[in-house]
Amino acid sequence: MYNSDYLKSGISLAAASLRNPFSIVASVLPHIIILGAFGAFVLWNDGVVLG
Amino acid sequence: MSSAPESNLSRAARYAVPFALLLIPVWRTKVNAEVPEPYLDEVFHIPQAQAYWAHQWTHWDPKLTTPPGLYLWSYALCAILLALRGSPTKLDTEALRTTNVATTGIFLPWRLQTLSDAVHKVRNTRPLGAWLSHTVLNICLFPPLFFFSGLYYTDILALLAVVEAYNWDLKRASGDGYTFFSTLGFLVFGLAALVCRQTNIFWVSVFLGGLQVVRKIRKSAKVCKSSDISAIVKGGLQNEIYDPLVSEASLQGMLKFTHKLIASGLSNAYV
Repeated sequence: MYNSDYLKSGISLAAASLRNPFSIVASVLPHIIILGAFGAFVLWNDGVVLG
Repeated sequence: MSSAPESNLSRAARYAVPFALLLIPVWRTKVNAEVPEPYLDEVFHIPQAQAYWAHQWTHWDPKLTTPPGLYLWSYALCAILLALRGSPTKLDTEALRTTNVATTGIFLPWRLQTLSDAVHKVRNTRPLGAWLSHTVLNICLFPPLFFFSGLYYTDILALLAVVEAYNWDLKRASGDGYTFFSTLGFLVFGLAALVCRQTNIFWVSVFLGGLQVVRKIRKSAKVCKSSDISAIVKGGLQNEIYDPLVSEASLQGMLKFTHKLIASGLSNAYV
């Protein structure tokens, strides 16, 4: 399992993201805004209802 | 795959796409003939859409679990048609289903084609165009999706909104034109995707956000040559990425692990 390239790629990307966390967060700011909007909706709606 | 050569098959595929699109009105007629009454969840969707059409904007059926995106979309489509040709004045089951048929037959293939071109990053030449169109057609005919195309369900519009958000996110990432404008486009369609379906939060925020993180890291990173795990972690901290193509990636370790798991499972079973 620990030989798998899939796992290694994930570890590699995670390590590289630690190097420059602020510029990475800045590049996904729109995605975070959408996540925040969803969070606000869930709070306002008093929970999430899926169907 | 993306550089498919011109062949008899690719030429035939070019005609398969318009032919399949011609079949969509037949499908619509057939569905309406077989299932004239609201079917399953349509019982909730159709009265809500009719309430909006009657401008009862505060009416809301508490049994609905999806936000009102679909009803607003049908309202907009029907309002445009009404202004152009004087009908429909009243939204019955058939008229509402037709808005979904239009989403499947026109808007979804169109936006999927744009997305497919952008993802493959290739100029859309004719033989290649046939290959791409066929991919688009296959996605539209994906059974769990296509099943809802003739009915009044939220699935297809929800996918369309995600596809369009993806289009704008790619435009934003490519850095062409004004980044402010494409970021705004992404926000608008990302939020619109949430208005169509709550589960879209995963696709527009987590999935597209994850892709953006990988794109951002790869932009400035160098290649990590060692495949040793501690060298990969060290390399990562020095902006070196271990990121082989899927076609070249080793599954050996995973297979070995699976074998071990099965072997140990078997040995335990006989103990």
